[in-house]
Amino acid sequence: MTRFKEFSKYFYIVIILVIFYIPLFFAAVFSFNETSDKGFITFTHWNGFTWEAYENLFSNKMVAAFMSSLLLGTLSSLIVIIFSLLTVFSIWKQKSRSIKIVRNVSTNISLINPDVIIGVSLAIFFSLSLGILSSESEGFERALVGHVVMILPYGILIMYPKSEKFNKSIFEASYDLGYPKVKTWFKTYFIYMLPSISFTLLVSMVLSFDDFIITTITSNTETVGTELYQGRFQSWALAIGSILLVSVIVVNAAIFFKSSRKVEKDNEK
Amino acid sequence: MKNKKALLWILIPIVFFGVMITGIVYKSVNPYKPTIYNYQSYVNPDFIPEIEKNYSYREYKNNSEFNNAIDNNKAIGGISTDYMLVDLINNKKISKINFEKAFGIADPTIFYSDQTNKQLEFFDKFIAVNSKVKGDVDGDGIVDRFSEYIIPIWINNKVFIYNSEKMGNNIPNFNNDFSYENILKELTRGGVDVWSWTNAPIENSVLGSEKELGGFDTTLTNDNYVKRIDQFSQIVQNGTGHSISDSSTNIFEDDSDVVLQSTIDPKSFIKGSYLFNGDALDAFWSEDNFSNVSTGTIKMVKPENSPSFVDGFVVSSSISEDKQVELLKNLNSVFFEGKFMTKEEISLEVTLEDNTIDWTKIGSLNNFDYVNYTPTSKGEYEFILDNYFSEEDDPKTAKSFFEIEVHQIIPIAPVNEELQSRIAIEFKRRLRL
Repeated sequence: MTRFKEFSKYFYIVIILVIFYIPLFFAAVFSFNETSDKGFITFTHWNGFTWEAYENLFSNKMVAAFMSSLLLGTLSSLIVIIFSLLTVFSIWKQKSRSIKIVRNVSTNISLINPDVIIGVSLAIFFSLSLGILSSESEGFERALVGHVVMILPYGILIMYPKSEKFNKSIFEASYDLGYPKVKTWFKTYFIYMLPSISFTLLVSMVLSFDDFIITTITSNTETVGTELYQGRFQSWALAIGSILLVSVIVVNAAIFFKSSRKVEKDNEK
Repeated sequence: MKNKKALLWILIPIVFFGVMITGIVYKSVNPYKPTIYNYQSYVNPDFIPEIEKNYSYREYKNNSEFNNAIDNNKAIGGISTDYMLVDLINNKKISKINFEKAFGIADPTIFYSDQTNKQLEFFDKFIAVNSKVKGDVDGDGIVDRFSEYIIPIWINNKVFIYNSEKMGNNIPNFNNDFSYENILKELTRGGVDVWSWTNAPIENSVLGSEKELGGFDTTLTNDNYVKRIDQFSQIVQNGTGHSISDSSTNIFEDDSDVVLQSTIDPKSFIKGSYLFNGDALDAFWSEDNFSNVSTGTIKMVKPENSPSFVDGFVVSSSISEDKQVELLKNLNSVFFEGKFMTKEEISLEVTLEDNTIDWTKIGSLNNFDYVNYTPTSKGEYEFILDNYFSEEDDPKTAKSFFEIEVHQIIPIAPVNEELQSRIAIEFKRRLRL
């Protein structure tokens, strides 16, 4: 019975891993398949080995799109982290329960709204306030505002539970020790919130990189997301998939190796 | 352990701000480039770096994507199809081409093939129908012509293809009846049991008019579009024996490359399809798509009434005339070089000392070598007919894919944006029934 239980456990893990990785594995293999003269990828026939997908991934256009994505991701994450942190801190300080309820409802509205509605609403707002975007300008700042609007509710959602558990007495102890207000805030609340700040950073970067709809509707900015969805599926997209797959495997292997060494060391002791 | 954690908290902000500063520096060194749009696979990829020196290059799948891009100031120009452009002209969204300044030519139409001129002239009557002076868009009192707004690049019509290897030895016999219904019936009898169609509601709906007595009519209106879709459905039902909503027999794809590819693919169930003659020629030379499918496996059938199209370059009215001229000059070596040359001039330019031809010497010929669509200029058309089709690859058949005769010019009448949506919705509804 115990052996069967053990087997079932491992079998379940293997099945889950297969479900996760089989599609990515095929994407990785076919990223090396030669495309037709017109760049069409075939998934049913092996036309020959090529590095073309990886060469295209590092073309000037893709590098430019990647840099735009990075800049959009980092700037929007920074703004989202600042706004989310200030918001959850003010909610923590807020004693009124009704204001907390209003916060929950109001941030959830933008969470459940489809991106396309946020995008169109923002485009209308930008047209009325900043004028119609010219075909000769990028509108990067519009994309940035769009990303902040899209990601901010997630930032608040991530930071809120941690912030609510912050112990007021730590704050008071710092005052007692003679620290000024701002320094106290950084030394206590900010340090306490660091884990959820880093998680918000991660989520913000992923959401920003993944976005296609809001960037396309509000601006002319070209990002990895907009490139992925423009025209036909390109072989370089498979190259991204296989690079991610290899990275995940390497990182997991490193973590596994490190933790198993730690277990060995502990056992030796 | 504690030190490691502290190092991590220091490292994260350093990496984060390092990445941000790199992004800012990169963006300031590489400023934004305005975008030009083109259908996918419609330019030799070797040219893309040339285009991207000054512009951003974007490919699209559906006609409406380009109209939206021009409407929303997302493109400064690009390639689109004639019947989609009249609405943009009438709404002053695209501007006249200054051929004189850009190419030093007063009348470009003298360089176009007769087929192209016939196709372009068809659209003149739809320009500025409701303005004070009929046909005058810009209000200068002179009637405007469609050809003033477009630099034609390709001309094409739609044909049927089938994969002869998937049909065994069955040779269809059309008995000189090349109506849509009969072509579908004969090919189905020959073994084509799964069809692939491009999901192009307007282009498919006009086929329905063949069901009516009195000839082929490519005009879709608010009053007749439902009837035309009905008639198209009937043609497909009678021809293939299955409804258009039966996706086990009739598969509608947004991407014409998928249609082409699946017809060639030996492992695909799809045996026949309806697509552009340029795609058919590409399918004829199938070995680059599937190394195990030999040239000539794909056969073509031209319907008696096949709608024809001119795809050409247009420029958004949101940019100044100077910028327009600069744009056209910058793109000359990619799209237009060769468009305004005679057959003799082309021959002088590309024929090498050993009498071989260097197709890469003229941009538009180089593009043809990749795209395989029929060019719009007389010089290119005749030069390609005389020199491109090699003896080894059944030149007579290959030429039949390439050629479009003047009597085969049947343009689709322009459809405004509102009607386009209605047709698309109704067509989609029928596919689900």
